[in-house]
Formats: sequence, C-alpha cells, structure tokens
Amino acid sequence: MRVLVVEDDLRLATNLRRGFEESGIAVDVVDNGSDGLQAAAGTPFDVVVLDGMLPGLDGYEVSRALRSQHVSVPILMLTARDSVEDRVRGLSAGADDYLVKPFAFAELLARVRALGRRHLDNRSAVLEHGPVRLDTDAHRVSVGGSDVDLTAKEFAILEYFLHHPGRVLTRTQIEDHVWNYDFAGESNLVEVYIARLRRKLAPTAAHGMIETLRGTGGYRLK
Amino acid sequence: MALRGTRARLTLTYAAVFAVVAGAAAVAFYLYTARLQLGSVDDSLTAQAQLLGASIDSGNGGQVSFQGGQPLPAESSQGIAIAALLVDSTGTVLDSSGNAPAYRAIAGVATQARATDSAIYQTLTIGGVSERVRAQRLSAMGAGPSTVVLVVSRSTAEMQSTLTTIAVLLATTVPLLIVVASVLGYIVAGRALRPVRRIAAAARDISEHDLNRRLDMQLPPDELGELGATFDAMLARLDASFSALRRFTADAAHELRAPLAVMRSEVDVALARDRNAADYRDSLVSLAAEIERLSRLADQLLVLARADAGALQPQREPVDVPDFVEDVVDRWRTLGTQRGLTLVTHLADSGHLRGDADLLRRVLDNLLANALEHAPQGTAIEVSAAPAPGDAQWWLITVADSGPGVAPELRDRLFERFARADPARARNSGGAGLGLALAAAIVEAHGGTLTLDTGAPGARFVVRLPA
Repeated sequence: MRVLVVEDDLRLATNLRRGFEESGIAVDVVDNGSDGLQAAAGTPFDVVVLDGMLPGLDGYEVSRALRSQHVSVPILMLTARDSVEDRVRGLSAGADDYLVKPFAFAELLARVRALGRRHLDNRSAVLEHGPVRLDTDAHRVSVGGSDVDLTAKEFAILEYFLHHPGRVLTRTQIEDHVWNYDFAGESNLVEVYIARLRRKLAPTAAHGMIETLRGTGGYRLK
Repeated sequence: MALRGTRARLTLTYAAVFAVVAGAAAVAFYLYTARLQLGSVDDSLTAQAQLLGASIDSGNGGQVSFQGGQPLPAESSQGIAIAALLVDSTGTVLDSSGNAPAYRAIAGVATQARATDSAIYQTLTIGGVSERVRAQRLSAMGAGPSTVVLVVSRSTAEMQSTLTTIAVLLATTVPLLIVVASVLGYIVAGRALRPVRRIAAAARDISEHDLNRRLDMQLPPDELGELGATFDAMLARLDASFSALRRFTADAAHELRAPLAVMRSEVDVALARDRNAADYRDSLVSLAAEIERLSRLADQLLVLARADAGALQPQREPVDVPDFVEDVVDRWRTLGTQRGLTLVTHLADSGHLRGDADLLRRVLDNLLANALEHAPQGTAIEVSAAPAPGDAQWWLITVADSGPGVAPELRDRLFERFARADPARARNSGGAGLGLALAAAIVEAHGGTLTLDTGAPGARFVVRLPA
C-alpha cells in the first residue's frame, strides 16, 4: 500500500511518515498543494492524506482539481476545523473521509487502510488465501496457524499479492504500490524483496506460492 | 404583532382626529345655517313691516289706520303667511290681520319696542307654535306716532324643518365619513408600514450565518428608505465583525490544534512499538518543543483576551528608558551573533517613562525576534530610544532591520491577529502571527502607538509611548 501525505507542517508530516512506514505502508510526503496535485495525478497512490489548510492551493482545491481530472484515488482530509460547514466543504470537494486534528494515529491508520481497501473485492481487514492469513490491522501473518515474522516491506508485498490472487503483477506495479519515490529506479529492489519473502515462506505450507512468470517480468500468487 | 398594534393605533388616532374635526365642522355648519335661516326670516319680517309701514296713515286727532281703515294683510307679497297688528300704548289693537296673535301674547315685545327706535326680534311660542316676532314703533319707520307699535310675526316651522333635515343629514353622513376615513386610514397606514413589515421580515430571516445578505429595499429616499439603508449599513458592520470573529476563532482553533496534532502523532507513533532510549528521548524533545509552542500561544491569547476585555492594566512605574532598552537588546545579542547579525543601539543619555517594564519587554522582544528572523546575515539591527523631536512628552523607540521589509499587501493587516506573510513558512518557524498584535495591544494599553515606518528601506517599527 502506498500513501501520499500532503501536509505543510513538517513535524506532523515527519511523524505520519514514520508511523505509516512502520506499519508497512509506503509514504511520499509533499508540503504544498500544487506538488500534491501533481503527485496524486501522476502516481497510482492507494490513498491521499490531504491537509485542508495548505499554502498556495489549499486541500479543498487540490481535491476538487483531482476529481475534475477524474482521478478517483480515495482522499482523506485532515482539518483543524470541525464545524459542520467545514466538513461538508471537504466532502463536497470530493474527499472520501476526514479527520479533525488532533487525531489518534491508530484511527488515521485504520481509516487509510479502509479507504485503501475500498476499490478491492475483498474489503475485510483480514486477507486469506489457502493456508496464508494476513491481518492488516494487527500487522500479523500466519501460515497454517503459525506466525511468520515479516518486515514492513515484505508484509506490504504479500498484502498486495493477496489483494490480487491469480493475477499477474508486474515489477513496476509492485514497486508503485509498495515503495515511495525515494526508491524509484532501483530496478532490482522488487526481486530482492520477493526473494526474501519467498525465503521466509519456504519452510511453511505457502512454499512456492509466489511464482515468477518468465518473459512478462511479472509475478503471480498461485 | 407590534406592527399590527402600530397600524391600529395610527388608524385610531387618525379616526379620532377626523371625528373631532368633522364633528366640529358639522356643528359649525349647522349653527351657521340656523343663523342664516333666522336672518332670512327676520329679513322677510323687516320687508313686510316696511311695506306695511308705508301704507299706514296717521290722520288728524291721532287716528292711525292702514289704508284708511283696511285690515292688515295676512301674507307678504311673496305669499308667505305673516301676521301683523298695530297696538297703541294702552294695549289697544288698532288694526290686525286675520291671523294675528292676541295682544297678550306679544305684549312684552310691544312694550320693549315702544321704548326704542330699533326693531325688537323675539322667538315666542304662541298657541303651541314657534313664532318669530318683530316689533317696532311707527315713529322709527316714519309712519306715525311713537306710541303705536307695528308687530309682525311669522311661523318658524318651515325653518325648523329645514334645520332638522340638515341635522339629520349631518348626523348620518358624518359618522359614515368617519368610518370610511378610518378604513382608508387603515389601508394607508398598512401601505405606509409595509416597508417596515418587509424590513422586519427580512431581519427575522437573516441569521448569523447569512449576514452577507442585504435588505436592498429600493425604497424612495424618505424616512423608511433611510431606515432600510441604515439597517443595511448595520448589517454590513455586523457582517464585518462576525467575519473577523469567525476568522479569529478558526485561526485560533487551527493554531491550537496544529501543535496538539503533532504531539498526538508523536506520542502515538512512539508508543506503537518498543523503541530504544534515544528514540524516546527524541520524541520527548520534540514534545517539549510543541509544549513550548502551545504555552507561548496560550500566553499570547490570554494577554490579548485581557486587552480585549479592557483588563490589560499596565503598572505605571518609572522605567529608565536607555537602561531598559539596552538590557532587552543585550539578551538578544548572543542569538544575533549566532546568526551573523550586529545589534546596534542609539540611546538617549537618560530619561524615564511611566509604564510596565514586563509588558514593554514583550513588545521589544517581539520586534527584535521579527528583526532577527528577517535581517540578512552580516547586517545590523538598529535600535533607538529618544524623546520625540520637539515633544518631550513622548518617547520614540524604534527597531529597524535591513531585511526585505513588509510586503505592501500585508501592511494593512500587519497588526491583526494571525496575520502572516506566508502561512506555511511561519507555521514551521513557530510563530502563530500574534506577536505584533500583542505588541500593539500592549503599547495601546500604555496610551501609545505602534506603527510601521513605510518610508524605511527594511522593516522599521516605531513605538511611541507617553513619558
């Protein structure tokens, strides 16, 4: 899962980045509206976390601009204003959800995950495929009932596979959904992490579930 | 409801005034008509008396007769029944018409007439009929001896009936007129009050959420037009102050919640998993910075709230101005040096003002903090304190930097709360935009002014304080 955070308060942005990354979510942070608009329109983020009050283009304008460009990425607005008018303004500008500052990070995380699942067939927080069971909220993976210890990135890759079982996922798709801009271009990153993930799954019943498709440069969850 | 009352009251007042005026006019008209009628009866009596008098002969030996002993005629030449009789001083009727009253009925009038040359008029009831009687002695008419009186009389029944008709007519039409006038008055009052009603309805509809609405009544420029315009002007002022208040509340909410959001996220993320001591320390350091930011904000808001409530009462103690300014500037020198800035003071040799040193220190601190933030590295910040030229009642304390100055679009609202050149930049550098508002409030509480010298190349603030 990959999230764009548009927040001009550096301290809050830093905390959000850290919190998301530690939860296995790839994060890109921009600190103004026009950069946010450009990033959200050009990259397939799963969720955009948008501060309402931004220098230049404010959050409402960014949201409206994205919707008018038919970018349907789920948007969660952060706002310091909690009047009914402000909330209505956010939602009518095209936001899917909002949180009033100050908010509990756990709530932000849960809402971001719920928004990220919205376009998927399986919207539950627990993903299951054969013997594999992945709980996105609790951040736990078990195969055949026994826990497997995965890093945030490995977890994110497995989650992405579990959302699209049986489908071919290209390296670029995986990269776009699991890594942020900082890693763009490191071409063998996906291979390295998939190798690690396979190694951790090898001793379990999920052995060999992620197959490499020669020629397409992609992978598939059997 | 009150309007309904006003309309009814207007109508009632109008109806009452109209009734009094119309009633008085009716009574006056009646009295005037009665007088005219009586006058015309009297005229007919006079004419008849003169006509008769011309034909009365007074023969030798005091013999008085009408046309040589003819009976007096019973009617005038116009055919009006007018009785006539001639009586002498003994009460003897010398001659009379067929319809003449008995002597005793008119004896009083005849006696009065005998004593004067003027004609005597009286209205008498004779035989149950109201009669107008005229008596005059013959000598006054040049027709005979002064002892003989010619009496003529005419029934007033015709006159009475005319007057009764007029009275009935007035008694029925005047109340009717009053009713019609009241109805018209009610309608006119309603029309006149309609704009008031519209103003009231519009005022009722306008809540605090749509103060941007105006009545815009398009009324003629009369009293009600003025009321509408006044109302609109009041709405405009309300709108402005509500907007300012709303903006302030929203800004204050934002400024209070932003650090809270940072603190909450810091704590939540730190507690999300076990961390080492260094990580926890980092989190605590970051929290301390946010607490500092919140405390400063709370403090500034409190002082401003006190100033708004008129409760910011500065102590009035003697402050040695050069010492005080030098002391405040000294505290900033270290930070200035770190940023490659020189702090230069130009101070008067001595002098005092009466004020609150703690509050005034905050003013200078704010101005110096701004200057240190905006001055380019390697330049000097100049602070001066001197009595105002030509007016020793005032002190001028100035803080000037050679930075970019204040952008023209910000100058107007520079001293407003939460005014910032760039919201994002200021938020990360820690200022909420209250410093100058606070400084201005403190200076004003001292009876002074804080202004920006727009003629200076950089930003130059001038504090003017009473000595």
